[in-house]
Amino acid sequence: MAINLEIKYAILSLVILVFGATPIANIARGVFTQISAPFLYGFVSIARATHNEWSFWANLRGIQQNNTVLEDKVAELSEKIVRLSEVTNENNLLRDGLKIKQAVPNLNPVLATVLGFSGGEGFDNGFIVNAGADMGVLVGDIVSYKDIVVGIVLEVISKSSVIEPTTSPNLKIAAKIARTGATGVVSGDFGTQLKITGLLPQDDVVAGDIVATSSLNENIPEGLLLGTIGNVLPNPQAIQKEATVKMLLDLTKLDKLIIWTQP
Amino acid sequence: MDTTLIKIPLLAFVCTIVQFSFLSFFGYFGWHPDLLFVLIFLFSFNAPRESFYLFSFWVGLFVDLLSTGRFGLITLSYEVAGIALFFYLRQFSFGILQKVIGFAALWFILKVAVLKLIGGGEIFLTKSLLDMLISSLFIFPALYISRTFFKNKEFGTKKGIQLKLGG
Repeated sequence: MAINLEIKYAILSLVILVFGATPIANIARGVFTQISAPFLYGFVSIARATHNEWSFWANLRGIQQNNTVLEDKVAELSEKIVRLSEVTNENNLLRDGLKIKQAVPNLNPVLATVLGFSGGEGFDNGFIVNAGADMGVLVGDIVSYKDIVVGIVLEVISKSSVIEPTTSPNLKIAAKIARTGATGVVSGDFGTQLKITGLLPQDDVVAGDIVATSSLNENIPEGLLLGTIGNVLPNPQAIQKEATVKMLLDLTKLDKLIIWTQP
Repeated sequence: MDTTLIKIPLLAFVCTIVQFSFLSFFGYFGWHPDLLFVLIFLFSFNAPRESFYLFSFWVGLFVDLLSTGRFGLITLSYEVAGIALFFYLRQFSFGILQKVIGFAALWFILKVAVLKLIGGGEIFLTKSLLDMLISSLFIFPALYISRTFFKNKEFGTKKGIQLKLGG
């Protein structure tokens, strides 16, 4: 009988439903869960791995697009950081240079960027900077980095200038030992370092003494730093005493300078 | 010993486990493909009556065992829906599209009716209907695959309770 089969399965289902009302159903569920747990776990592990792989490939284009956007943002932010860093450096440079402004109020600072290096008679590490006559720069103007003397403007054209560094033997700057007030003349020595000459034999000069500009210079304010005493050259017979002066800066690494222009 | 009586519950067990584990990971906005629904439809085409009822029964029972709620309710709903669908598909000579639509509608109505009337539980009608409609779409590729790759592959040995996977 065809109908019997349907009735048989319907009754079987109803029996299961009635069986579900007894506490044994929960036990059956518990046992079945225990049996199926390893299979479920196995399939879940496979599914998770497959899903992760699928998600990776499905999101690859999105990740690529995000990556491009992020790269653009990183480039933009890096550019901003570089600009901010440059502005900060310029601000620090100008702030530190205020000492000169206070000493000589009539001098005006002009910020200049080093464009390259130039040689000259007796020196080979002069600077070419991007400030020239258009900005009021004149030959003989003092050039500093913070409150450290870097050189003197040697040549001026409309848009740029050449600066003779303190390491040039041609440049002679009246200087004094800050600790004792002993005076001398600082000039370049072989184009790479400085030396101070004209010190009296009885002057108290020791290594590490700070050397600064004296009031005897025509265009250079007093008290600007030149360097520190390195070695005092021993020459008992000499009338005057000499000493090497250690530079406070590596001139080749400078990228911004201040030119102090006359009003 | 008739191995079909072991193979059909085994197949139902594997399908239920896959549905509850593997396919849970491949949902889309809360919807998951209903493998059991698609398989019951496929078997309803060619399987002998008893094999089909046996498969529906075991699938319902395994779903019940892995679910919470009133035990036996899903078994009954699968069996009632299975019996009705078997008659619907065998008695009327519709085209495949009508069969699928009718199957999905009957399946939905009977399952909801049993769960609601006997179980009295809360049924999310819109979601259930949407699940059913989306799952119905999977019937077509499944039917194509079964007819292409499993043609005349019989699942079972005993005449009368064997499952033919493809027509």
